[in-house]
Amino acid sequence: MEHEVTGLLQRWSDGDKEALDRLVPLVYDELRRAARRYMRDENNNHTLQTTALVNEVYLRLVDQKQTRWQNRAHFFGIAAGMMRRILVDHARRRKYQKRGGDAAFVQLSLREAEAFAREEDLDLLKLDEALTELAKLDPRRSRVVELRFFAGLDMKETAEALHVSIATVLRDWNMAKAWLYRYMKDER
Amino acid sequence: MNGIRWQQLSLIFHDALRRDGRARGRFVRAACGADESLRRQVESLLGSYEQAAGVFDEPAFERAARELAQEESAALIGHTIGQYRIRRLLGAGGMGEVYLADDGRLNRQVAVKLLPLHFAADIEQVRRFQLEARAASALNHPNILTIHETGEHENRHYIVMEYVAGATLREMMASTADALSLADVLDACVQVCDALSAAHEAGIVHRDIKPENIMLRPDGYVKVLDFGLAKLAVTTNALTEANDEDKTRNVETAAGVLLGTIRYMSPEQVRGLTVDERADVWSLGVVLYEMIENRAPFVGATTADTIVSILEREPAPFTMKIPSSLQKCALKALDKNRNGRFQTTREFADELKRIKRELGSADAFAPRRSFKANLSDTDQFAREQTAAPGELKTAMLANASTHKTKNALQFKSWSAQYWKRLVFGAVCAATLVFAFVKVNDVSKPETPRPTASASSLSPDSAQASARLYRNMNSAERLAFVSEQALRVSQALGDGATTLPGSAAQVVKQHVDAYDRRRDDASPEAFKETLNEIYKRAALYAPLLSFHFKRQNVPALVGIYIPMIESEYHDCLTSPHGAQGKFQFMEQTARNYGVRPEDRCNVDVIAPVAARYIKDRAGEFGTDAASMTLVIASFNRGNRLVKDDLQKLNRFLVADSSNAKPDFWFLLAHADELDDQFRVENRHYVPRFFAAAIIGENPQAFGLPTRPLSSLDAGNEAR
Repeated sequence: MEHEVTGLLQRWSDGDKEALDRLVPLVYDELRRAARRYMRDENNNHTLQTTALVNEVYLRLVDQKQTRWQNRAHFFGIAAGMMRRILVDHARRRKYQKRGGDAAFVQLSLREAEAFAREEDLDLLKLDEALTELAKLDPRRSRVVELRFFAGLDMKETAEALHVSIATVLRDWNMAKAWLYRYMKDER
Repeated sequence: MNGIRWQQLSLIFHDALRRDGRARGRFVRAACGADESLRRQVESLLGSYEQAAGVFDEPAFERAARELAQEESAALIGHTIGQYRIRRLLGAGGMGEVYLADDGRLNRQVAVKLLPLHFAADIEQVRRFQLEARAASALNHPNILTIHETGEHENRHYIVMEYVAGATLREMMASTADALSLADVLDACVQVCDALSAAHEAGIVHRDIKPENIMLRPDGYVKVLDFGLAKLAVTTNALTEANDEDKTRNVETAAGVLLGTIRYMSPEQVRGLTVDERADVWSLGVVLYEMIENRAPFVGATTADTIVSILEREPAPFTMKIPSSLQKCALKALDKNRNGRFQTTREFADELKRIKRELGSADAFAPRRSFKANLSDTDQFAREQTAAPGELKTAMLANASTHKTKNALQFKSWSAQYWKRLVFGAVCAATLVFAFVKVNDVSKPETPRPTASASSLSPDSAQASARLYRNMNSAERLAFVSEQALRVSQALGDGATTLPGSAAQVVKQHVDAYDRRRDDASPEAFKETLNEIYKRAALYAPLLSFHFKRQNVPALVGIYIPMIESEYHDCLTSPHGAQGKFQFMEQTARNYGVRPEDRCNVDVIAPVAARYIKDRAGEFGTDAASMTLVIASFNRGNRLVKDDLQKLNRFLVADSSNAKPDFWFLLAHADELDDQFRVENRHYVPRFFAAAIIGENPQAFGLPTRPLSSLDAGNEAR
């Protein structure tokens, strides 16, 4: 597994598009496993260490000795994209359910209800749309949001992943936040 | 917006952000010059920036993690683990997730707990846990949750347990505005003591007594869970030892696991010293204190503070008005020095009982009454019980509807809350009773009843007794079952329909299963042997007989529905000793005026069960087919029963070849019914037939008494 993922990352950063297709399900499975483990171990009172999970997945999947630092950036890029997809799909399902699409709507546990309530603060579907628009104007800024917001990377990690300075990430982040917020508000 | 414009916009935006207040405004105006549209763009972005503060600061990541984990849980629903089909998540916590599942092999509901992965790491530890969990379960104590099985599924260990329709003490305390009544508190603690005493005497210390591990059933019964599990849990050394894989996360988690439990840990546990039964005395003391005060005695902002509090501090004085004897009792259990505590949970229980008596509530320990029995209700109940038999029944019937309203007002909030929980969630096994009745042929209610023995389904039972079922070969068994099943159909109101071979096969399987329980209960199956079931049934026959007869409902229904529901333990040790029962959905029970504390009261349930069956039969007819469907739908609750039967009726209309449906009609169409109905009822009717066949042919099964329906109920009604 380690070698497989490491090799795929390598091939992908060397420009092999197929490698990505094979990488995605591997990373997704491991993310899912890690999330499960995390949710089970967590004892209700803890907030998630934002990068811990992706980091854990990365350490688990990638052979550290065999890999170049860029691989890590690529890996986080993939993870961020996946997280975005997971969340957006989730939001879409919820919306569907709220419209009464699923009559047998199960009761939410307290925790689910909390997550659900917070979700109401930020319309993820709208954010997804805004982010797609932003990517047309400014792909890097869109990427910064993806890494920061969806994969939980900090400034330094994001800078590493995008191979830019921390100051640039900070500027991109500020601008992107303002732009996204305005977009989402105006669209409402 | 083109690239250059965007660049311009961002440069001015970033520079502006470095300035505050008026300087910012001046800068933007200067930088944009005459370009009005650019200025507006910058200003609106700056405005959004201020408003967006904090919006994106909490990464969506946590939500994604939860989502992934939930998908995983959801993915289990409908799948099987071993012989268990997972139905829904009952709860989740540090010790894993618990699911409600159907036991396909034994046709019962169970709770399946999947342990967290890391618990599987140490095989020796897991083995010790399994031994201990089984040992506790094997004590067969009514207050200890039964473990059916332990196993492994995709690297995760699971425990299959008795399913208890109830709530944990934690949920109970959290959901109630008022404190529990003192009688409730004492009663619950005494029951926990009873469970622990049995375990301690077998050399098992629980080690993790806390409100999460104590379940309360609607009838006031307490079940202690998770014996042995504490051995698997992270122990104090987890504070210093982290898994090398991801240190940060695990240290946090370990501390978290401790946090949940540490409040209930005795000083010796916190110190990591060896632990004996007196540690359980302490933990129960903490629970007792918390139940009284609605707050834990030892708490701190951090784990370390809590530990210090446990080791050093005395609990805050009681603020609730409780007898000084109870204060002393709780504090004695919380003596830092274990030699100063109650030395056994029996001593503890004795003291609690003494206090209870001192409180002057004589009825409080009438054991299996609900916690919430209101005194005036209880008095009335007592009066009714002493009334003459005939009067009593009439009184209960007449009172049924008034009870309904009365209850709503009189239950204390705890009970009301609890009741409400059940509406939302669990199926409540509402009631029980046992009894016997003569065959009462509804299709010809006016026909005078034949003599008692002739009313047996098996007039040639003497002949049948010559041949024991166990000595028959398979073909003979099948022939016997076919013939007897037809008789059952007839007793339910049918003409002579021929039973398809496949139907007889299914019934035969159930008869075989019952026969295997003849004299020796399989440890994993129901606890009762066939003999015990039969004896028990005979005890309560007269009462059920009386009421079913009154309602002109086939007495077989009254006899054998409760018999096949014997794996529901709700009223296991009710004063009436009834194990089988009529199980009502909670809402249904309420509609019929059954008070929660009467769920195990045979006197109340018997007439209600008869009325319920009669009402359903009134809607769908009294022929055997309808009656069979009523039986099939019995534990569905009356609204669902209607839905189910209407659905089945539609199939009936659509399929004219089934003009005269029998219970095979149900099986044939089972796939078109909803999951729950299908799972619950695929075997329900066949099992009913099996029970009736055995009950009506006792000699063939080596049972000592007469056919159940031949017992004369007429003048035995209590």
